[in-house]
Amino acid sequence: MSVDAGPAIQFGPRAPLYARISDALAAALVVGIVAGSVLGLTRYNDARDHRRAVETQVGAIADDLAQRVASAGPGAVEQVPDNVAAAYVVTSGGVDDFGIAVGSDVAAQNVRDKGVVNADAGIVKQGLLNRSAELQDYFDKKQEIPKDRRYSVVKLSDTDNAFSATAQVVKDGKYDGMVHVVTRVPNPAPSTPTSQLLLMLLLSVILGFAASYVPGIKRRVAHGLAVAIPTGLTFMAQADAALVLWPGVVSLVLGGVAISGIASVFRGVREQPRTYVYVVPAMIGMIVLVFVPFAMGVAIAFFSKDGDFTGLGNFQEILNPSATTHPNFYWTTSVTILWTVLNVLLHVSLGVALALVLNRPKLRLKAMYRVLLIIPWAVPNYITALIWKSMFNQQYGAVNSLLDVLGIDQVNWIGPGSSFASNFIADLTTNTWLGFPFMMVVTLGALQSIPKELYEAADIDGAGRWQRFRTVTLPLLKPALIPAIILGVVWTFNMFNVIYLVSGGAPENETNILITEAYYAFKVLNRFGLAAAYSLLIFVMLLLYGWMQNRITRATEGAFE
Amino acid sequence: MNTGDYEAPAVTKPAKIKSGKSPWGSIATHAVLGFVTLVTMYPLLIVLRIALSPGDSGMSPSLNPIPREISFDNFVAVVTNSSPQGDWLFGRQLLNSAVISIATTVLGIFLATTAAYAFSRFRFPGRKAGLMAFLVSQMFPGVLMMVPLYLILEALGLLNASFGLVVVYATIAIPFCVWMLKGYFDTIPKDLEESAIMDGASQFTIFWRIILPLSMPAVAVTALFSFMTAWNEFVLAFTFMEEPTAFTLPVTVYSYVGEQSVEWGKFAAASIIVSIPIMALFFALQKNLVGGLTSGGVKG
Repeated sequence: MSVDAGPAIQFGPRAPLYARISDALAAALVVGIVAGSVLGLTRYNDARDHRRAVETQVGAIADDLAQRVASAGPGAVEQVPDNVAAAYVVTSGGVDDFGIAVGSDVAAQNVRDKGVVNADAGIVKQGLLNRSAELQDYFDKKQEIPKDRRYSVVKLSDTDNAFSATAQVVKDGKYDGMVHVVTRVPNPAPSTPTSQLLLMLLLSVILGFAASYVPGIKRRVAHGLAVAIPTGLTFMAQADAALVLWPGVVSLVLGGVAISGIASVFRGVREQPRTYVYVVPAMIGMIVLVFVPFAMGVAIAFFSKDGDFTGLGNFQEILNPSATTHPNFYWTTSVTILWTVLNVLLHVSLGVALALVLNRPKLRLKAMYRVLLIIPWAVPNYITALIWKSMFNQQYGAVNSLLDVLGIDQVNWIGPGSSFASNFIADLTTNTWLGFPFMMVVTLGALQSIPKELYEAADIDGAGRWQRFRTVTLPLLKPALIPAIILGVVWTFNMFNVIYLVSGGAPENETNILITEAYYAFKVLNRFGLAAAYSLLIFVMLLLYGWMQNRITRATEGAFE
Repeated sequence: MNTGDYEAPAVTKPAKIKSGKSPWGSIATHAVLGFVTLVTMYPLLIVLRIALSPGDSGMSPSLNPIPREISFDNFVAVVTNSSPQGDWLFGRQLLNSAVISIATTVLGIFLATTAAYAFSRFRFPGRKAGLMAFLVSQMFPGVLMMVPLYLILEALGLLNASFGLVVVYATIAIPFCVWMLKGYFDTIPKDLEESAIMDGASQFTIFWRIILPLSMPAVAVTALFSFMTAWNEFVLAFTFMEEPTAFTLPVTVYSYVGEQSVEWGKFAAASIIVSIPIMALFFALQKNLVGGLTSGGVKG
């Protein structure tokens, strides 16, 4: 990405002070983004590791208590570790020692609903949580115990780090009640403290300042180092050497490439501060909530499910699938491209055709048609998708009812056992309905600004209707249509809602497009790294498309003048 | 393609009148438009039928969009939806949606108009890169941003806060709005500003008193997009908010036919309620939509 050059400044021993400060700030910004993103990621991984450790620890306390209750009875609840805030025991033959009416009702009912304990269940309670609201809250969040474990753990609240664990009391090989333990576990100190990052930001300011003394092309190397050294040092305390190496290498390259440009922006701020007042609010928002998350997302793509650095492992898994993987990345990419091309073709041809009809000067009811045809755009697209899903229902769906009336056999569009083609057609129909109004409105706007004289000239030259459309209308629609098509391609390529809600990828994930595959990796497999790698591939493809389209059509050329 | 028809103004026409003037041509046009409009409207009529039929009985194989038996039970059930604790969830969520969407609109207009003004009128280092970055950000897949956004909102203390959603929605809407507004501002002649500067007007006065009033169609479209972004979104709202009382309406609408339940009647009724404000805005602003969206692109 090129940055407009500011006024020429001679760097070296005699560079002005504000230019040196610009370099220093630019270095700090790059360190902040790269190191900050990776730091956020390590914090996240730390938190997850901690959570797992706590689950084992808290679960073990509950399991231990359950076993003691099984042998010694409910009274065993008196001997629990000190960090246990509250413990509840529900056994079939137990006695309510503390006589808390609300608690016993809630507990008994809750357990009875699961059909595991008789109505006379007793309750033993100890500890700090004794208000009924908290008790209710606690039972609301209680989970079923997974089959492969002897306990389940739920985090109760973030503020006081309380976890609740549930374990079964098993007496003589038979179920005999439940134990609930609420434990507070403090968060550990982060492996890389924030102060470390602040210190390294200071270092990058100093190094960036020093870099401005280096003249010529060497300055870029100095910039790279001014960023790479502090970024690498931020993660010195981490056990994983890759966490020092990779952010360091990335920032070395990024620093060498981008700091001159960023510094020229900072110099610009000094030279024309009032200009930047207008851009800064939007820019801050975009940096904090769009570009930094993007940087973090890119970083995530290089980590495994367990938070270990895997380099290109995730990409390898996607790009080099095993022979048995179906649908693999290449299938999904082909489907995505087919999906995008067909959609945009249909959107544009329908939109342009309708706009041309609606643009007839003497057409009656024009306003009414226009309003009614824009409606699909006004309905939230998740609603549209679900409506069409119901229309493609084999039994009640309107589509099959229509086929019935026309004497055609019913089709199993999206139900179990339906084919790829029928699912794809269902998705395509839905998205066509959804997408043509945008193209229609864009075309209508563009048509209004075509001077009438051009048509008159064409008439005088004896042009026919088709010729007039091809030589006058189409070329003049292009400047408005091409940016709209680029946007349309990008939006359709990532049109998650329609695929996810209508076909849901059926059959066998074959109609999934790349973005729904990424979501699958994210939500079902819980593999953020894999999802991020998918997303990054999507982004690269779209970027390539946008760049090529722009080269060919020069769609955005005028915008930069 | 027969639809590529265009009729030049009658004044300039020579005496020879084309066959397109016959009533058949007009009837054919209306027949085509009527058919397309019917296809477009039909799914919505079906939604209306499902919503107005008692329970889920509207989900029947009949093609007739008129309900056999009219009942407002589904609407009543949606509007009176309450939590087990007795909170009036519908009211709370409607209020959340309204407050969040209006705040997003205000913030979105503020951020987009100021940035677009600078991109249109000033030349400064970083301008081209900034415009490019806005365009490229449209290509970032949402899945990639979810986890990082969650972490950032957590770090900023904006998780579980309506303001967090407002800020996220406003930034989501910014890139498209900035490009659209910048295109519109570019078409406003600079002469006006030059004479204003002669009269001693400040840069801000020009922006506030000249550019903005002249760009009302584009600003209206910006408002519409910002509002729609916030009003229709449910994945982030569901992810970032914990309590049902903090959800926005779309989260509940989706839950009626989500993974757990299939209550088509309630879903249809809720869909209609949720869509009404957006449709009203579209109707009110549709003229601006045609002008505001494209004038920038056409210029080049």
